[in-house]
Amino acid sequence: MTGSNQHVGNFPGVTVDRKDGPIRNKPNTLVTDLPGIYSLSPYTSEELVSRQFILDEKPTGIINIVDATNIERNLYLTMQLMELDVPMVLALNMMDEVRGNGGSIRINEMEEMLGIPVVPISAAKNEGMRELIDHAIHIAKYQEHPGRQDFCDEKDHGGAVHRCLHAIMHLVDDHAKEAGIPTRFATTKIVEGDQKVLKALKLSKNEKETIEHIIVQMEEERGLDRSAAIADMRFAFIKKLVSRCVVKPKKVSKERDRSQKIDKILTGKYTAIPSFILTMAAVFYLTFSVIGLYLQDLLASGIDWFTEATDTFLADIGVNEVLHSLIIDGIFNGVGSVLSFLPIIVVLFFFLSLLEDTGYMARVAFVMDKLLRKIGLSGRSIVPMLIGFGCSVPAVMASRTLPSQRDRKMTIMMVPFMSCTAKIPVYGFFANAFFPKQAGFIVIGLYLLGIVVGIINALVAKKTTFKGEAVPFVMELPNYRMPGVKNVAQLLWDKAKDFLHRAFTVIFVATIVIWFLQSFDMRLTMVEDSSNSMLALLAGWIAPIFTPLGFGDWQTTTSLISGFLAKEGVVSTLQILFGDSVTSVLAPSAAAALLVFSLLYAPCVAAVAAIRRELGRKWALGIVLYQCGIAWVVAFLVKCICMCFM
Amino acid sequence: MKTMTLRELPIGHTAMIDSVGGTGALRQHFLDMGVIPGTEITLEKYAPMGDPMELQIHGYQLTLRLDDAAKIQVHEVSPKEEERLPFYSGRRWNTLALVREDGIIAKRTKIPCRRERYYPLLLRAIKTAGKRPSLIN
Repeated sequence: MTGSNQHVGNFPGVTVDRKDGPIRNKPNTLVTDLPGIYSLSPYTSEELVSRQFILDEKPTGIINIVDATNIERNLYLTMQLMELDVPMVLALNMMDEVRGNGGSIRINEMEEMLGIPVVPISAAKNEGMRELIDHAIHIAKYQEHPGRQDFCDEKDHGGAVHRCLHAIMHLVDDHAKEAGIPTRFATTKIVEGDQKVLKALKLSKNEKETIEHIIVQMEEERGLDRSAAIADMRFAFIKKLVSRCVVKPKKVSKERDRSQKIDKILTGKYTAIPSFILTMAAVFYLTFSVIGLYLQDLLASGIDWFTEATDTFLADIGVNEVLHSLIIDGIFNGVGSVLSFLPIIVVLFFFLSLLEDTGYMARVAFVMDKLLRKIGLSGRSIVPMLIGFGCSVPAVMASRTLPSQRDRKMTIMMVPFMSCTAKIPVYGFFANAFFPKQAGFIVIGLYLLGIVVGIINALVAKKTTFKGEAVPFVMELPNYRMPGVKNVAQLLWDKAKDFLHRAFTVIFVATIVIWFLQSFDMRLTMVEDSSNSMLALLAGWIAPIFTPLGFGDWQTTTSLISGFLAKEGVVSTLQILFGDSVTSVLAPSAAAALLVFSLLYAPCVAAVAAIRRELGRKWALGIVLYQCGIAWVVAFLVKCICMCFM
Repeated sequence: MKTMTLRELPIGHTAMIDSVGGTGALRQHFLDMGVIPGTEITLEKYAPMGDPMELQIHGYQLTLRLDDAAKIQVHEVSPKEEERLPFYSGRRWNTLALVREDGIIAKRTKIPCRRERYYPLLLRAIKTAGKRPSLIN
């Protein structure tokens, strides 16, 4: 829509944050992509984000894109949005699928019944987009408010709901105007028992009592309680609308049929879990052994060649020794070794986004729910955790789709235990250097160890801090779909850009800082032996903590500090500090302990920042300290075990 | 009319929702997803580990946990024609048949049936009419 396409997944709750962008070729426009939601109730954060955005920032218009193949369900949100009295255009997406199955929608009648423009589109085939944009600009420009907000029927069950709503509307009209909330919206939300709206209206005690009385009377007359009555009112209208405007396909849709066939295997009684394990194994195998490795080798040799070329070039033109050292030892070594892991990250995200876009992630949640509930989480938590294998930052952000604060906290605590792609360089480097024969085994072992520690951690948390049951698991299972090429490509580009951005900012700065600290001593003169440098002094203070783990020297400590900036930094720093002599400095048992420690200790700065944004400063700090503690204990245990066997 | 909770509904059966329990977020969630009294809901299957169930409602697939499903009161409605007569789920043939209503030959009409064995036309008509008299009403 905006040309700078946002990521659209086949899983409710992919966009969790709002994103802005202008419409292509239309300057002076700003489109904000809001999270995909089902309702405007105040229970999940993505619903709150959308609701607050519309109420507070008062957009000039709403483009409401709904799935036409499942129109009854999706019109429910449309009803609520129309109550907000913001100009709106309704886009019926996936009309190609509806038509392909022999259904159709009478657009004109629907427009008439709803009082808003309705545009059939197909985002996948890029149909109807221009018309949609024109309509959207038109309604925003001329402020065409929805022609209808009143969906209650006077004749329905004696009109109890209708009378109740209109009576309350008169009562709260002034208050709603003062609070800047559309009256109709405020009314239905009060009846539904929405405390947030009720508070914002600042009603007097008397008025509250009157309203309560009206609602109780309505409940009696209608025979349903308040929230059910409102939901029923909306669905009754939708039923009427659908029976007049929608020609349903006679048979089961092709997509549904196909989904059912795929589901027989992917969520079948005996095949579901094997196929899940197989899928994930295939994803990781392809990423780390086939495609990613090949690309990585290619890139690494390219970087090596470039470094050497620059090295000779700098030597030839005879630049200052300090500058030479900075460029080659500092920047090229540090950033280069991190950069060569770009292919793996991109490939892993490619597969994860495929799984998400096809709709398989929702099935995974469905299949795994019972298992995850044992550790006090819900099936939905599997999505952030799987993304956590890619990168903790989007994983922490994805936890926002979870409907309760308790689940969010627990999932975020679990995420850092899933080895993110940034830790791969660390594993790869150490496994190859110390245990070249069992490298693959060691890496898999580390992944499993992370998961096991995470599960133990969750079990402990469930018994202590987070008592109680996981949140309700009420979720839609979308039909399987072919992922859009553009969509996936866009996501990959975003991830690559993000990684490069980090490589050239955080990691770039980190490598320069570390190079500076290790090349100069306290009097700012360049040192020959790095053990005299400032860094050695600083790390020397912390290092004794790690002596029981077998790596109490300042170099390793420094690399762990830089690993906090970005996990890849552990390797690059060690390379700068030790050169190629790592194997001679650390004992194998110490290397194992170091690997375990870098697996479990505090997530990188970017992830901590994400956690802080989700849970607040206190939690972020708590998680950092907590994980460092766990890492130390587990690493110590691993070292002891290693000592026994070696 | 048998009332029960959604949890007790057998696979493949359709029920009408009578009342929706639960409180707070859970209840609002039910309602927002269209789980409201007076709606038909069909149990499609259980997840492999037997816990969340997959249901069809308003033409889409919904998953619920068994514990949550136990909060929804339903009564079973007669299964749809096709589900009641799996016999007809295959290829269909239109056949002329005599239909009895209360023992009286009422009318001559077309009924759908699947050819299982190759009977002569008349014999087949009688057989099917005898077997499934409840089909046409």
